[in-house]
Parts: sequence; C-alpha cells; structure tokens
Amino acid sequence: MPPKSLSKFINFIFITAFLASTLTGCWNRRELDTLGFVTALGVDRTGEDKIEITVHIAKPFAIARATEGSVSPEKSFWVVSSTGSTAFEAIRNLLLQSPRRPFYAHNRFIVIGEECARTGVKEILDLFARDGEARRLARVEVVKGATAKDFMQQVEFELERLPSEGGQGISRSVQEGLSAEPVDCTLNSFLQWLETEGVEPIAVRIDMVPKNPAAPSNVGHLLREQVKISSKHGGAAVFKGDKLVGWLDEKEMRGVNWVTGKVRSGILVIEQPNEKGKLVSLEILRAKSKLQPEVKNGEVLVTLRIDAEANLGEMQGTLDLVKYPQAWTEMERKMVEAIETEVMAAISKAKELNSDIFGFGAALNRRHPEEWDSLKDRWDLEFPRIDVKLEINAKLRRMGLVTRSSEPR
Amino acid sequence: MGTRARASVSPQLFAHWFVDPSGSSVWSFLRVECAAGSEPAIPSRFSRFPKNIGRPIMALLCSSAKYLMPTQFTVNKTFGKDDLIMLRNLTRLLRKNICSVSKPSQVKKDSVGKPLSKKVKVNEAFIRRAFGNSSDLVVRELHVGPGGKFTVLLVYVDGLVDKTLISENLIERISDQADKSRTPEQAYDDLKNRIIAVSDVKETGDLDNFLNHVAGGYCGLLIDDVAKVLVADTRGWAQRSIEEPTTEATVRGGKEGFVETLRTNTSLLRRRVKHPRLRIEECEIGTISKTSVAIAYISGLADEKVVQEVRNRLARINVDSIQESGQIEELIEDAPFSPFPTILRTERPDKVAGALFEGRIAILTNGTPFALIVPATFTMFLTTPEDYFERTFIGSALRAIRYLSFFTSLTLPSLYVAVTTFHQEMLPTALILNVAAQREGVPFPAVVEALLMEALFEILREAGVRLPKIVGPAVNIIGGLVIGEAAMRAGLVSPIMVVVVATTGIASFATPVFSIAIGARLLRFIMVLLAGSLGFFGIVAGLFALGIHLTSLRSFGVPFMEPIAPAIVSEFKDLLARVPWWAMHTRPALVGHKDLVRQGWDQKPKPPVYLGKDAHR
Repeated sequence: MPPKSLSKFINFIFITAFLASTLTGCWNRRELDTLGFVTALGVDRTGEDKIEITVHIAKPFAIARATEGSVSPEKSFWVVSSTGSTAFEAIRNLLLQSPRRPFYAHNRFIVIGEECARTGVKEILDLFARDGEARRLARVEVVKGATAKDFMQQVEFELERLPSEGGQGISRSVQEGLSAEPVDCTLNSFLQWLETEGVEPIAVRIDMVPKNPAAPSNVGHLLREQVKISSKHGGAAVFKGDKLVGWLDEKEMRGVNWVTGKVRSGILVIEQPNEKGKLVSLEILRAKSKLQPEVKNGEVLVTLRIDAEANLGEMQGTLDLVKYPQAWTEMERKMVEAIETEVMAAISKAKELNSDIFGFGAALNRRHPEEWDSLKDRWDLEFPRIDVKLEINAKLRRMGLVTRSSEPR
Repeated sequence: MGTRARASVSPQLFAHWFVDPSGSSVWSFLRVECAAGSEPAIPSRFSRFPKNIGRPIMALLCSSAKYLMPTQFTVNKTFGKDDLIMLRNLTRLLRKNICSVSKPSQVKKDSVGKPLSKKVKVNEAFIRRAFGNSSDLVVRELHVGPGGKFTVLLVYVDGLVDKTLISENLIERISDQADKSRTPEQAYDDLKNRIIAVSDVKETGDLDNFLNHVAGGYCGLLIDDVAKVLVADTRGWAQRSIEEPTTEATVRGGKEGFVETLRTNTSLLRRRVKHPRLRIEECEIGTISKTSVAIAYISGLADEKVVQEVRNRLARINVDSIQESGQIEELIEDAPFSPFPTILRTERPDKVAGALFEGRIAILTNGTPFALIVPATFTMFLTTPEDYFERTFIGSALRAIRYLSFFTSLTLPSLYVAVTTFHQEMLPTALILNVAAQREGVPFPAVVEALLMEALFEILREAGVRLPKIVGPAVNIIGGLVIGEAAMRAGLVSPIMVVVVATTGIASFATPVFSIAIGARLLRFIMVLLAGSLGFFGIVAGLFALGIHLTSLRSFGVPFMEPIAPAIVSEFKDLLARVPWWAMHTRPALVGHKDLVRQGWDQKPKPPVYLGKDAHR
C-alpha cells in the first residue's frame, strides 16, 4: 500500500526498486560460447521403461552465416536424443554427446509423444516445474499419432530457420486469427489445470503433415527448400488427470474457447439469407463469456452467456444490405446458431471423453463450494449429465467498404 | 600532506621544522588551528616517546599546542644523529595523529618588512638585485625640479604595462610640469596629487609590496630623498579576445566565454548582474605566483556563512603557485578522493550568472577561463544553460537524454557482460542467438573483450584529444575504422561489442561537464569487472556502493545528490524536467534560502481578458 505523502511515496518507489533489483537471480558464470541453446524439447517413453529426451539445439554459427547473406546449406539446429530412467537423468545424459552444455532457459516447447501422453506426464513435467533454468512459459504440445522423437527429427517449417520459431509463429497466428488452439497453454497453466479441482488440462495438438511425400530423408544437410514434413498446430489434446484421453479438432477447440471466453478472432461461416447455397463469412471481433453454474434438484445446470461481436467479412451472393436491413438481424440469428453448434460440439465431445476441460467443476466450486464438496467425488458421473443452457448474444458491427457485392450485368 | 577538508571541525597542528645546516640547532614553528574554545587534546601516544633526547622537544611541543598560537622555539643543543632520527620519528607520529607536517618554506623573504631607503641609488640597486637583472625590467631615470636636481625613477616591467600610458601620462607630464617643485617632498606630493594622470595611484613605504606591484604591471615612481614610493596602475598587456567557449558550446545562448584575464571576466559578470549587490572580493593565492583569485556572489542571495567558508578555505591555501582553477578546486573541495567533482567548473559567464542568481558563489582565477561554482550538486553537472534557454519541453527532453546517456556511459558495457555471461535467459531468444553467433570464435571471455575494447577506445580518445589538428583526422580513421574493423575481422572482438563500446563512448560525450564524464568513464571499468565476476548482482552492488558514496558527498554544506537524496519535492521542478520559467517561483531551497522567492506568482502568460461582448471592437 503506497504511503500518502509524495516524498514518502517517492521513497517507497525507490526502496521497492532497489529491493527488486537485488532479486537478480542465480549467478552461474557461463560464457556464451559454452552454451547450447535448447529451443525445443521432446519427451517419449521407450520400451524398456526409460525416458527419452530429444532436443533442438540452435547452431549460432549457422544462423550467423545466413544473416551475413550467403545461403547456408547447413541446418541451423542440431537434433540430439538421449535416454535415462528419469527425465533429469536423460537430460544430463545429453552431456555425453553435446560439446556445449544445453541451456534450457530459451526452451519454447515441451513436445510429448502420444504414447507417452497416454501413460501419463506427471513424472516428466515435475522436472521442468522444479528446475530453475527451464521456464514455465514453454508450451506443452502433444503429437498425434507419432513419437516426439519423430516429430523433432523430421518436422521443419518453411519461412523459419528454427522449428521452434516456426511452431511459435503458427501458434501465435492460430490463437489470434483462428482461436483454434488453447490460449496460453504453457507449462505453468498446464500444471495449474492439473492441480485444480474441477478442471482437466488440455494441450496443443500437433499433426504431422507430409509436404513432399517423396521420401523424407534424414540427411543432415537438409536444404531449406526441401522441407519434407511440416506440422499443423491446432485443436487440442484432452487429458484426464495427467493422461491423454482424446483429441479435439480445430472447430471443437474453438467451441472450448467460446466457453472460456478466449475467442479473439476467427471466421464464422453461415448461410446467406435470401439466397440459397450462398455463404457469408463473419469475422469475429471479440467475445466474452460468463459461466453461472447452479445445482437444482441434485442436477447441475450451467448457464453460459456468450457475447460475441463480428464484422461482415465476405458475402458470396448479392444482397444489398441497405435495401434489406432485415437481413442484418437474420445474419445475427444465424451467427448465434453457428456459435451454438460449435459450443455444443465441444461440450458433447468433452462429455464423451468425460473430461471437464471447461472448468465447470471449478466454477461450481467458486460459486457454491458446499455443493461442490458433495459432488466432487462423483464428478465423473455428474459431468456427462450436466445440463448446459446457452444464452448467446451476437452483434454484427460493420459491413465493410461496400454495401453490396459487385455483380456482373 | 594536503590540508584537510574540514579544518574548522577538527584541530590541526602544523609543524615546520628547520634544521640548521651546521646541525647544531632546530627551530620548530608550530601552529594549531582549531575552532575557538575547543582546545585540542594531545594524543597520549606522545608520552610513550623515548625519554632521553626527545624530552625537551616534546615538552615544547605539548606546551605550545596548548597555547593555540604560532610559536617559535629554539633548542640550543648540539644535534647528533640520534636527534635527527628522533625528529623523523616525531614527524611520523605527528603525521599519524592530528597534524600535518610541512617542509620548510622555500621562499626567501629577504625583503620582508624592509623599509625603503631614502637614497634612490640604494633602492635601485636593491630592485635590480631583487629581479636578478631580468631583461624585462625597465628603470628609467628622470630629472625634475629646478635645474633638474631631483631624480625620479620609473620602474616597470616591459610587456605588462601600457607603454603609451607611461609615456603620455607619466613621462611627458612629469617632464613638463614637475619643474616648479622646490623640495623633494613637494615634488612627491605634486606627482601624487596633480601630475600623474593615471586613475589608480597608491603609496607605499614597504619595498616588498612595491616589488609585488611592479611585478604585477604597475609602474613604480621613486624620488630621491623621499622614503616613500608611488605605484600607478599602468597595467596593459596582450590578451585573448572574448570568444565562444570551446568546451561548452551551445546552440542558443550567449556566445561569450571567459578569457584568461580576471578583470575582463569580472566585467563579463558585472554586465550580466547590473546591481551593486554583486560582490567581487579579490585575494592573492600562491606565495610566488601571486595569482589573483576573486570570489563573486550576490549579497543577500548567497548565504554569508557559505561565503565565509569559501573565504576560509581559500585563505588556508599555502602553495607556491596557482596556474589553473583546477588546483584551487583540489585544494578546497570537500571530497578529495571521490571520482566525482563536488565543484562545478565552467567557462560560460551566463552559467556563472545563473548560479549567482540561485545564491551560489563563483570563484574566478586569473590566468584561466574556467570559473568554479560552489556549492555544486550532481544535477548541475548534467545541466546546460540551454535547458533554461530553450522552451520547457525541449529543455526537459534534452535533459532526460543526458541523464539516460550518463547512466548508459556508466553501465552499458557491464550490462552487456552480465547478460552474456550470467543472464542469458534475460534476452529474447532471437537476440541471444544473434549475440552468440557474433561471439562465435571470439577467444576471450566477454569481460576481457569488454575491457580490451574499452581500453582501446580510451587510448583512441586520448590520442585524438592531444593530436595537432592536421593529423587528427588520420588517427581517427586509423583508430576508428581500421582498428575497429580489423579487430572484428580478426575475430578478437565481436561486432556487438563494437556497437556497445561505440554507444558508450558517444553517451559519455553527451555528458555536458567533462569532469563528471571522466568519473563515469573510470567507474565503468570497475562496473565491468563487477559484472564479469558477479553478474547483475555485481552491477547492483556497485550501483549501491556508488549511491551510498554519492549521497554521502557534500559540497560546501549542501548534499551533493540534492534534491534526489534528501528528497526535496519542491526542487523536482528543476530535476528531470524543467518546469516553465513562469512556474520557477523559488530558488533552490538549500542554497537560495536567504531569499527564496525569485519572481512573481502570476507569470503564466495568457491571452488578454476582454470584458463585454463588444470589447473586440
């Protein structure tokens, strides 16, 4: 609480600033050229109960040569794996192969293979939560239908030199432009979800996409023009506890985001009023949601209020909105329907997987703690029976630069 | 041993030892300075001094110290080797305890208090001997009175006097008009009252005083059979004209700078402060150089106690010569071992005048264009006159840039070292990879690299400053381009290090006062070492130590870091941002408290107010 008089306030600021500046962290002296910067890290379990870690280590000299202008045929990162009985041992065993000590503070991704995720991730993630060097800002992602090692060894992206940069770029645009993946799905949030009653964790889903099916080669000198396998980030991996139980696709994931109020943008496609077979794209501007859980006659009822705004982005048919203003309300009604479809799809999928990824339980706990206390032990039974009541309020804002489409005459 | 900074607080004992060349006797001049009423305690350690030989002197020493006044003692006793050893030991003890022991003065004062002779010839011989037949001493003999029976001697130093003045106003008039005098006394009075057409004529009977005047450009007149002399102010010599100050150029503001002549400088101040309350007190410092030093202040604005403190500190100076105000600065400053100056120097009269109006005191020294301003605070060193001349937003913005660049010049290399060797997690990934790529193949640790480049830069700068103008650009090209580029290509340093060093160098040039920029430059090396051994923790520790040191400094009683520490809210008007002049109501509280309010309270300009709806007609 800042004091009242001005000079005391200034002293307060100074003292706080000075105290904060003493929190300067650990001070291991390590020269820059003795470090290998890990930019992404993959985790798998191998057959004989061992944990296998695969990392991307950036090669600064390869990056430098590229910035100087000459085209470098050299890969700008190095993929290396090692195994151990625990994750920490596996990571330490990397030293057997790496001339530079791997440095995890710049790690952006913790990629988990599907098999590994299904058997549980708690034992693995403990290291990254406990260790001071690795950041909790790393994103947790799960590869569908492959091991993390495969993903780490094969996937590259056009336009970005380092796969971690590529993955990050895709994640950012998917979150901002499509709202089709979990927002802020960092290690920190993952662990919070894991720990909180009434919420189940989700992670980003990755699908490997072959770009050039003609034989992916594992030759080290992979030219940038020859990216064989890339990946698609979007949708979500649904966990129950620390175990993977199923997948959501992009549409379903946006349904989850509608519920949690994290939709930032995206395209909603609806049918055009007055004209059959023509479609209209709406660009979502902003959305917010409000959850109101209650217990009525022993039944859990969740009232979900969603306020969404959108702009008219595209119209396939010709409709002069100045002449037919009633089409505007018609489109708003269809927008409500479209949102409802997405939300219901997400909810039914979650019910099917019996995983409360929306945090309905947690919301109930916050609002009616005593009722949650009586319900939480049989939440697994209650969750699929939850009744969700949707109140969607959609607004269309602007129609763009023209009032009607151009029409051939 | 230099004089202590605060003699008025703790008593000081000055002992001057003279050993007779024959070794048979010793004189000691003991002088104790202390505040009135507080007698110094004699350290008990003296009593443990060897008994046999030391006793008599010890006793004298102790008893003399109690009297608190200059005393002179003679010990009539054959001096042997043991006594000299004892003397040495005593000197050491004195050094360790309360006093400073100075070497005997080198000045031979053979003319001290010597009265003038009546005979002109005797005096002439004496003057010639005193000047050692220097070639620039001119002695002109004139014969005046009826039949030319009185001899008048004109004595002056060639080059220091205005020759036209001497020939027209002295020689010509004396030759024309002095014939009526009947006696030497009458001739003397005539000269003094009527004939000499020079504005300032003084009379003296003391030869030493006379010689000092002649050496200072006065023309001395002696008359046979009169034991008094006249000195006429005929000073006039070649001097540099008033030019734009080279070290403190500004875009806006007066282009006048101080010159080497004290009188011109005081006139520059008078022209800016046309009020009789501007006081200019003059004194001479330097036993041989006799340098004129003037204290300037505005009576009623400056605190009289501070003025007295300045007078005291100047009076305590006992050196043979003063060449530059920097020597005075070192002899009177509060913190002689601090890397930061506590006295501001400037060669801009407008800056001095501005300081005077705030209640500060200026010290002007003959022979240098640099004036000193006391009390000086840290913020003054990062201020230029332009801050006040340009409009408030520009002034404030420029000042913010200066604060930033001072901090940059102090810490940027150390931040680079800390980040690259300790806190690699603090930079964005793309940037740290870039830095890592550039450091690829550099054989030194970052701290060595930084020290190497900083040292190289300092060498370049030093070379550039001293070089003649003709070869300067060549060195800049070799140094800046060739060495920098080549060191980079040779893989000795990374390109980013060059960027860091260059930025730091430019930033240190953005600090307006050179003397404080040097402080930051020196401390930068310490900061780099701290950063290289402890990372940010080291930098923070260094900044803490620096902060503690800075806040402990005082400049003539005023906290150096005022108004930051102690925080004086009313003074924030002139700290990071300068408020507009119409809001600058008061002087700085700690120096201008004698007359705090400096202007009216309704100075904010506004459009005129018309009453009535048709008033615009």
